[in-house]
Amino acid sequence: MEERVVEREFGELALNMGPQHPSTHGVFRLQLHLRGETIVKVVPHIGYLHRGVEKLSETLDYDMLPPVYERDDYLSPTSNSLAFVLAVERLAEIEVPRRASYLRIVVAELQRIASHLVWLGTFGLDLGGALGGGATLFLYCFRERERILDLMESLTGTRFHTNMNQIGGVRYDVYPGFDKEVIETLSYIENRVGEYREALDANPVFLERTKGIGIVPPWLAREVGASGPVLRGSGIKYDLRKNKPYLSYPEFEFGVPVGKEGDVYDRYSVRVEEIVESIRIVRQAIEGLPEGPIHSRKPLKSATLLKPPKKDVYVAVESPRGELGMYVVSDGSSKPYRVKVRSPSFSNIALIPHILPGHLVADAVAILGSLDPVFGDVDR
Amino acid sequence: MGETLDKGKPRLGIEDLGELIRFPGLNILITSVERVFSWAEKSSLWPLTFGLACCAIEMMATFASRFDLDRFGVITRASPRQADLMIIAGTVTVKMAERIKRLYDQMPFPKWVIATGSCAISGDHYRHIYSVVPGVDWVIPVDVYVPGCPPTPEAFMDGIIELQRLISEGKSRPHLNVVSEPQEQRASKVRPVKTGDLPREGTYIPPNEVLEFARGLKEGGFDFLTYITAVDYGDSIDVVYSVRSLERNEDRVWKVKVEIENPVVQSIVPIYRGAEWHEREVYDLFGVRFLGHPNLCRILLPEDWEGHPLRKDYPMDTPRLPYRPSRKEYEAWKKG
Repeated sequence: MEERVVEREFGELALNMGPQHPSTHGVFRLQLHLRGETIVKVVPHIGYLHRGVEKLSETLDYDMLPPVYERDDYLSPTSNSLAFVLAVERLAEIEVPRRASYLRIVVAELQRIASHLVWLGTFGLDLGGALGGGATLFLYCFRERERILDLMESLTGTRFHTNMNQIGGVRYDVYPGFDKEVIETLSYIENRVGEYREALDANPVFLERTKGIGIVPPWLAREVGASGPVLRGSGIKYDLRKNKPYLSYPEFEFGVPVGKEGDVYDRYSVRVEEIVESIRIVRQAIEGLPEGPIHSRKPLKSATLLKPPKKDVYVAVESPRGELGMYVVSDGSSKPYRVKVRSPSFSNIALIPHILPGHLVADAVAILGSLDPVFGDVDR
Repeated sequence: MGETLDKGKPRLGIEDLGELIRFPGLNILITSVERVFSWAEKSSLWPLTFGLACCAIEMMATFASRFDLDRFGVITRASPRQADLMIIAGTVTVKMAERIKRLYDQMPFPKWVIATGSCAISGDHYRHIYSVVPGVDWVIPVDVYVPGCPPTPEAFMDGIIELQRLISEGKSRPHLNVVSEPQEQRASKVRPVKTGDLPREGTYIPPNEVLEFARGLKEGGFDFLTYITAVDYGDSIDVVYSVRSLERNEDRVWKVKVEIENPVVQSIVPIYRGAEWHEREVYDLFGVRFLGHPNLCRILLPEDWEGHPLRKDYPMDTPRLPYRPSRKEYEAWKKG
């Protein structure tokens, strides 16, 4: 199709989007330079939620920090604290009991499902009219998510900032009947997600708005350091749970879904398939939950302050958004000397200036949504 | 539910609005205009679609299927011009505070504000952080506070009902955290750094050979940029790079030691495009300058920020709260 310049005499039009915009998924500002409807240049602005958590962690003890990190990526809080406790456990050479490891996986994978459900729901809102007014998918996904939050609440007392992970183990053990509730919830969600998948894949408007749009070439994804569903959507099969295994993941059978084209549809498809894989993992973990203690250290009341040896480590986990790593430098005291949070969203949305130009304004929202940024995670 | 609602007659039916005289075929209601207006206002609160952090997720959950705020007449609007309720759900940073003030100013009267969650109320555990405003009531007046981290949807709904009660009673008295005089703030002490005592192991590369070294690694298959960060060791700064080969599943980490007075290092943006944001972050938080970077400016903090927060000599609660209005300014602003 021949490109027609509509507003030649006006040149470029700069359009500001955000920080208050319903489709920026948080506080994010995009400066779009348009020629007609087409984006020619993008300048993203971040930092509207910079809460200085890295500076804060230099002033708190190791045991006080996991709850603080849970506020970072607020759609999957457990991944944050998990990365941190794994880093500290490697620093201080603490072994974690197998039961604790399984319980961490159960909570992390349940939150992955919840996080992907939120993503799918808000993605429906982003695409708007394509999905029966847009709000339908949002309402459905949040209904399913509530089931998982109920489980979290009865297990830990809070709905999503679970505070489950402690250095050396987990804080809460399962109660009798938990396994039954989980299995029931999982089969409910599995059916529902299958239905949404069928409905969306048969919806020509949805396909029109997602296929062939926002293509991330594999070389670009690597250079920028994009990870998680964005990297896998571009056809690179790399999942930290498989490639750099942590906890008891090697004991479970699960697949790593990958896309082909690297477009918005592939990222959607990878996430929806990941829900199914996570359901498989939780089922296996619940069925094979080993007996034993859930904590390898003494209860915190009597414990002395943890003082890891002088070292630096980098430990990463696969959060729903990608590689969430913690680079911890210890100076031998009870507080970390420096903590760097390598957040997946930060690297993923660095793709924006590279992939948006050439698209229409309406597609910007779909592409941004498909990267699934969480701004607490981007800005830290 | 019934008991909470009865507290102070919050749910006004038409009979409660005034004196209803029933005649056959005709009813007469005698009331004041104010009461009818406040009855209408409280029953159709339109909040701005606006979330800041974690609390916004709970806010979304409250709007969604199970809790369904629509039944309170609460329907979100995407434009401040159409909204009369602002729900501050999340941490207010200095960079965002200006925007919040502007959004608030754009809303038409009458307008109300609910501060949800500990961060919006007081800053919570981020209270003493350099970039965080300790409570949104430093910036805009707040009508109702909903505590929690994050508040459950039930607490959130309770906040809405409380606001409805205030409106129907005509009692709303917004709270703004103002001072009569600008206050001097004292910064906290800086934690002393024991230099020379710390582990500084790994591959060290001179600052002017970074580009060549990175090029060699990338040609060797290490094309995934994991992260770039820095550590302040008091007398010098280590810039830490990490790249990965996804095929071989191997990491390569190298460090560059730069002086603290004049920290300069070559930029690797020509090799790894993603380094652009990482290097900007290191510049922003540590002040390390990268030669050859296409656009080296601040990324997380506002452009006019002074100092580099992750340096060890930078106190965590560096006083920088320029948005706290004095009583005089607030009065002037309220008059318009």
